[in-house]
Amino acid sequence: MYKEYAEFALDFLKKKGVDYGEVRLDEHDGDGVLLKNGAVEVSGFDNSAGMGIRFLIKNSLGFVAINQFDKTKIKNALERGLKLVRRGNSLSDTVSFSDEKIYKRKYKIHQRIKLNDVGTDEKIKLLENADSGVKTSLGRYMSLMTGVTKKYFITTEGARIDSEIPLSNFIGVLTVEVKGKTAQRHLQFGNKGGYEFIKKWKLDEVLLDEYKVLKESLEKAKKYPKGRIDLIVGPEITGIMVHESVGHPLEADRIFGREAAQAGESFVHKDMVGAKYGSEHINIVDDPKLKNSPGFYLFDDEGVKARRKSLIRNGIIDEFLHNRETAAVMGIKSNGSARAEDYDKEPIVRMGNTFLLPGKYSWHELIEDIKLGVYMKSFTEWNIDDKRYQQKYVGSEAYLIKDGKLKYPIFRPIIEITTPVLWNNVDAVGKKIKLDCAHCGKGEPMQAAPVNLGGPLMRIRNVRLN
Amino acid sequence: MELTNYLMKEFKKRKIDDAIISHILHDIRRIKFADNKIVNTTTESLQNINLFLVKDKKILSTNFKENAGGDGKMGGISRLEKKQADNFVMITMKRLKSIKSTENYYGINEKKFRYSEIKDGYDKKVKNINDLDLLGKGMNSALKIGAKRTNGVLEIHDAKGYVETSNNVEYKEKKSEFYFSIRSFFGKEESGHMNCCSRTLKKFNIEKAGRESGEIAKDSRNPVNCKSGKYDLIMSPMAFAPILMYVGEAASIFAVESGLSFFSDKIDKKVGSNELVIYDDGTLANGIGSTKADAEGVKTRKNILIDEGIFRKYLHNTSTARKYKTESTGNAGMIYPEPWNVAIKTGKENSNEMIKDIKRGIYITNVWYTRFTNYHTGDFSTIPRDGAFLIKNGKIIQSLKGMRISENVLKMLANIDSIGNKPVNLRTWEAEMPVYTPAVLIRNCNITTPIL
Repeated sequence: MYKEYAEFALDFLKKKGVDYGEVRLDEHDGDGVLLKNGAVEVSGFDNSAGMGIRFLIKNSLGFVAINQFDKTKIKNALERGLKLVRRGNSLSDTVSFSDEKIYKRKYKIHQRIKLNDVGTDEKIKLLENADSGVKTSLGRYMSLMTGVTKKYFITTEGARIDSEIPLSNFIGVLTVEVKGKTAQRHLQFGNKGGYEFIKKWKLDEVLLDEYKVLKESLEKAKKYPKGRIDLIVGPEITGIMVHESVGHPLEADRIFGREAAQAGESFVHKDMVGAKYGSEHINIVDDPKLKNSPGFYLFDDEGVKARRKSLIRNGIIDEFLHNRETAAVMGIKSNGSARAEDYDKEPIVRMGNTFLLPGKYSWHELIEDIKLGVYMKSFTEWNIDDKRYQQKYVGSEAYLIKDGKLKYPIFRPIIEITTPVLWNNVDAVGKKIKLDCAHCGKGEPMQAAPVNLGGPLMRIRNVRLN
Repeated sequence: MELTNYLMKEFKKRKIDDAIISHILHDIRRIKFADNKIVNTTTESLQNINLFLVKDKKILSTNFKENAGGDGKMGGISRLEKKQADNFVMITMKRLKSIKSTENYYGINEKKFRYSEIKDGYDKKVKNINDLDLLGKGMNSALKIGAKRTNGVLEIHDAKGYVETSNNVEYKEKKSEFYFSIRSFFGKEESGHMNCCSRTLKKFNIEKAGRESGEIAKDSRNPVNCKSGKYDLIMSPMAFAPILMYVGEAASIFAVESGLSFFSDKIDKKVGSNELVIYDDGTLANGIGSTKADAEGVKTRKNILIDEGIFRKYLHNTSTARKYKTESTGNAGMIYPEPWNVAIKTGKENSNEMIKDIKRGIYITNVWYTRFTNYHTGDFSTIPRDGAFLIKNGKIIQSLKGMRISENVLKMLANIDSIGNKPVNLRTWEAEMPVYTPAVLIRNCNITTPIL
């Protein structure tokens, strides 16, 4: 319906003689429900559309966002954008894009049960059912957003990518109180697929389990040991570690300083491909092609074909995450990591689904020779500095390990560690992978991208809890 | 306006109980720069029509997507717009039937107010200012100090909005905003960051922001690793802004009911030091979040949240106020109550005087990645970045790096010992919600560091 406006915008850019132009039309159709303490707070539906239009003039980059589908308004917005970019040309960086194969493709994700065919009433029932088992908790916040985004991407180079992607996302916060003490857990699920995936989340079971864990932690958890210990982290913590201290520092736009003001830079510099990053057990990839994952795409938002990227191979940096701009700086091809989270945002270098590849170890083999250790299964608070060097993870569900066995729950163990120490001290990786959904924040203005992060169990030797 | 009037008329015909429609036109110009060069120039022309609709206690929030017009006008709106609006009203009424009613809804504002314009709320110069000249002034003032690299964003917003409700309450408002964020670097580890924000060009001191970011970067040369322990902290406005933002968010009754507020059960209880006064002010002159009325047309006002250390009130809209038998504080967002400009009452000391009063402390100029272990208790940590300076016996003696503030918000509020005398309007990447704050001195804070 709106494609003619995208074509109009691209034609206009061509007439204006830009060196490169692209139009990304996004149309979104979805709904959402918010439950607070079991009661519906609000329901909603969103039917929106807009265009993100990017162009290069004499190596200066411009971006125009518009959601008014009126040719005069589009023309005026582009005239204004072009004028500003031309005026700033002498102050601009020299931006160029890597040469890439041009694709014309159409793809969509199949939905066995279409998200938009399921009524809001059924989605409310699903959340109410999940809430019913945890009603005795102090506070419950749950939101479920579902919808389909159609993207139409065209460039002056001839690319034409037409996609239809369904996305669902659940966010829940559970606060449990025992004798005046409280504990809190944030949960997130997401898939690019039909309603059948939402059913697979089994929110009722998960929330009840989390409730029991929080309660047990408040009732029985003891203090954690100080001093040096061995640490086993669950896939949820492996995932956040991979995301924060491997994925982010290997984003090439950080390495080149483009995000230095806000999202930050990286302790990794451009000559470090081939440098040691961790022990030989560390193999980390970013794979946007994982079917139905929250970070799924087949073509990125610059029209580059997606592929699995090997970030760390046997402990060595293998490649950075690139878009066409950073790839051109390094004189290589883009590996298809450009994502824009809405029509009014420029595509920047992002992760898709980032995870540690499985190793050979069973649970028994990981734990058997630990004399004193901690098993940190899940986390609450975390953060990392803006060069991605020193980080903190606070355990949520966690247990003491003594003489090769789990003993009792411990309360909020804290690890503060540097990236090299963390990855060099990993001496064993489990066999089974688990991935979690999250929203990754980056860019100015901020863009929140749905991603997967995860991996198997991981053993980190000789660390101290803070 | 004609379109929103038409939509409202059609919803009223269908016996809607409550409706709010807001129509906002937003023009943004944004120049992003890295390493002293422009890396992207953005212009945004956006229109948003948002609706809040209630029938039989069923609450629906949605937006109207306008298509191309121009096929002939019919009473102010085009035929195509009318067709789309009719279709939208039909779909919306159908959707309303399929959702569940809530026990927790008590209506929207019915009162008509005489609104006052926000002082320094709109500057028509926003349309014609030379963005590049402005950017040059900001960057150059950092470079003059000796900064090697400057990075950041200059943003200029020009917005106009119209709100009408089913209770015949309506208002129009124009908003301008100038926003500049600059991070200057001397070397790999030495940086300074400063934001400046203003609704008017006259009060937008971009050169001062550039200069200060350069000065912090220059002073932060040769940092050493910080040792963990207890320190008195001077938190600059940039550093204190996220904490103040979370204070404002926690004051919303929505956060309290959700278990996400460290002010739960704190009404009339001591939560801060004796001198501490924190308020939210939707009328603040030149306030980045200031607005003459909230989403349901209640005139905004100043609400004291913490008065001399005692927590006094939560932020309400009309519905939540009726539920708790109180009055609206004029903080209605489209869904739940939210603050406009969270502010701390200005004190008397400047930063130099605060430094003199510290035996062992750190001057923190910026923080990032603030995350909570538990919003209900207020346990959190945040990472100081850019210049951070060790204070010993009343003097700054060393630049620091590699530390984390691992604390509790309520404990920090209780330990505020001195409040600065130079407040600024701010929004930052870390504190998206506007605040108005000077520097504050907080005693006995916990600093942690990575253990190798």
